[in-house]
Amino acid sequence: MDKQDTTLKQPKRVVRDSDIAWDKLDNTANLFPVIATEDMSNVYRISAVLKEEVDRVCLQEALNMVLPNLPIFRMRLKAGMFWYYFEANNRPAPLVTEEASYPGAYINKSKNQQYMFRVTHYKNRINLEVFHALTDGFGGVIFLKELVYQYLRLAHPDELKGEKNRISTGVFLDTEDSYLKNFKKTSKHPKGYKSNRAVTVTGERLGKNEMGVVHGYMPISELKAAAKKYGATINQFLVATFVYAVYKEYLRGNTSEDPISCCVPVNLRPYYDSHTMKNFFVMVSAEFKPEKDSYTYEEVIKIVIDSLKEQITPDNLAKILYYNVSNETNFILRLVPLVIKNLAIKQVYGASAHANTATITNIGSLDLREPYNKYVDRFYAMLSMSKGQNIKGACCSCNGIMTFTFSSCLASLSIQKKFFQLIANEGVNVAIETNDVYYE
Amino acid sequence: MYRCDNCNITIYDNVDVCPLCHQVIDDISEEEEAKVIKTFGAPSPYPDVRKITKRTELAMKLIVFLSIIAEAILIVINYFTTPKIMWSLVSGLAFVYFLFSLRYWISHDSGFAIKLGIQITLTMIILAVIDHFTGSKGWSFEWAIPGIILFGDAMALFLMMLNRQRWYSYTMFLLYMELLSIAVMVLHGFNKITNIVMPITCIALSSLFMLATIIFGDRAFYREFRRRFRV
Repeated sequence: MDKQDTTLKQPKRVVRDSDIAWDKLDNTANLFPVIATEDMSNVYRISAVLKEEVDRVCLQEALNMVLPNLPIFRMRLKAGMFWYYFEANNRPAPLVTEEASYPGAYINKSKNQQYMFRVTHYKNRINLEVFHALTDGFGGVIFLKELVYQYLRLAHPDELKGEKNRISTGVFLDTEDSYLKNFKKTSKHPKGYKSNRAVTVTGERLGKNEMGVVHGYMPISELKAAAKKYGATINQFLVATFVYAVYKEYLRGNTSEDPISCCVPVNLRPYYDSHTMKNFFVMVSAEFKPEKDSYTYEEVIKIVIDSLKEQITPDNLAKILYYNVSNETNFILRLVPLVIKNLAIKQVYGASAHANTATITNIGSLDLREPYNKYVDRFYAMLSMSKGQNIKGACCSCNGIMTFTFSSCLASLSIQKKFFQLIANEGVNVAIETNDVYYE
Repeated sequence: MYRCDNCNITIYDNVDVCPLCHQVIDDISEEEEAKVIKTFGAPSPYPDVRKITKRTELAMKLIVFLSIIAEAILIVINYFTTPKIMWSLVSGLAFVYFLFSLRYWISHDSGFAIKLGIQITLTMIILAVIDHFTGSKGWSFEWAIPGIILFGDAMALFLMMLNRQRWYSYTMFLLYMELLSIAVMVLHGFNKITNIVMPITCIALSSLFMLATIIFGDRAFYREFRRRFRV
């Protein structure tokens, strides 16, 4: 493999031992180290599927070159007396390996050169798996895109010789804690996360630590047209279709005391003019409580749209943000040792874990800039399981194709079936692909 | 590539039945396949990770199985040879200790210093329990536990030398050894430990190391302290 001149990469800075950088975890990140386990890894995966087989040596070199420029990922997690904190990790980049575990597998923070992300590959695919304490999908997408750009520059030195070996212009490497920055003591009544029980999708489980994946590929133009018929955005349409699929397949169209509640992460950056690479999102829940005998698809879509519209308002998001941050800024609570904090956080998390049926996230459009776009087929995003949520969905788009990925620890695919059937019946061309866990 | 008429979807997986509705399906023509690939891209299969996962699990299960068999044999030997002294309890405890340690060191993701601290604490507890079951002669408090603290001090020094770039990451471990030394001294004060030599040695050595760390560590030590104790 001919490699491009790699001498242009950033000169290695030698950090003095005593001056080693460290950073606080952002508000959301404080939760993840406490609740992360082998079964509930809090690791998400974003993958890029190239049009060619991935070369591991080249990918490793690309990672070695990109990582020094992304300080948010060059961290290791340490436990203090009162809080977890990040410490700069000056070890070499983690080893790129061939995919050998289920998507979103737990990241052991004492292995992997102590980095909290991993890069794997399999055939045409490059996978980036990130522990959520580091950053949300926004940060993950920046990393993966830059990794793919660098990989392509190394793999196609002649075709991309005009391209510079550096992070793309316009990428923000801001690492501010936007939660704290935008937290204002207000007279507004803080809005906590609900703890009322929602429908929990249960059933026969796959093997221990196994995760089933079903990707659904759909043209955005057709999806948009289908959503428009119901006066919905693509996001609202997908969430509503999922809710209806749970209603029809899991509740069999019956009434329920508990609502079907679908967690939707909302990126706060546009609301607060933030460009941070740290986590900056809050959760809202699209709720549908089947109280009468029968609901049509249209009715459920309308209910879900209204539920989301009601919650995704600047005022409501500010209230949720205020609630999240207020506990962190309380001096008495800050004085509580980490061991006790962990117990309390686990308790609070456990109490609210069953308040949602599932999570569906949309990490947006991942189109690569020219001239890189032609080398990539599509992107995936997928979420790992969490307590009380045995099925989750993540979607992203690239080159006019929306990929909706279900991840689940359940053996049954009935909800996925209904979901894709509903969309296909709306005239959308649908293709699916699984990770073979559902076959012998 | 296949097509399910019931679900009205195309399936990339190499299967005979639709994974969603379980209807028997047929493959699509090459022309249609080319069209699908043009629209959505080529298939991107996953590796069979089930085999890899099972192999690791099997190794762990085998160790547990063999330990149980070994302990059962020891219990039988104990029963028929020296029924009045239940030494097989000690071997049982040793097996539990070994399995826990193995599992903890392999799968837990704490840092090396935390793992070592927990291992040292567990070893102290195990030795105290064995001492208790073998006639409460007090050897664990008199010699074994202080000996482990000295070993801990030596390990801290060794690790700091070994990982000179990040020597400060073992200061909390050293502090823990210091606290254990104080606890041993307190036990001496309450006459739980009669021999003064070991408590004095422990506290002297731990304090010496701590003092050296504070003086020579200078800014790095204070920074580490600040990070660890940030409120």
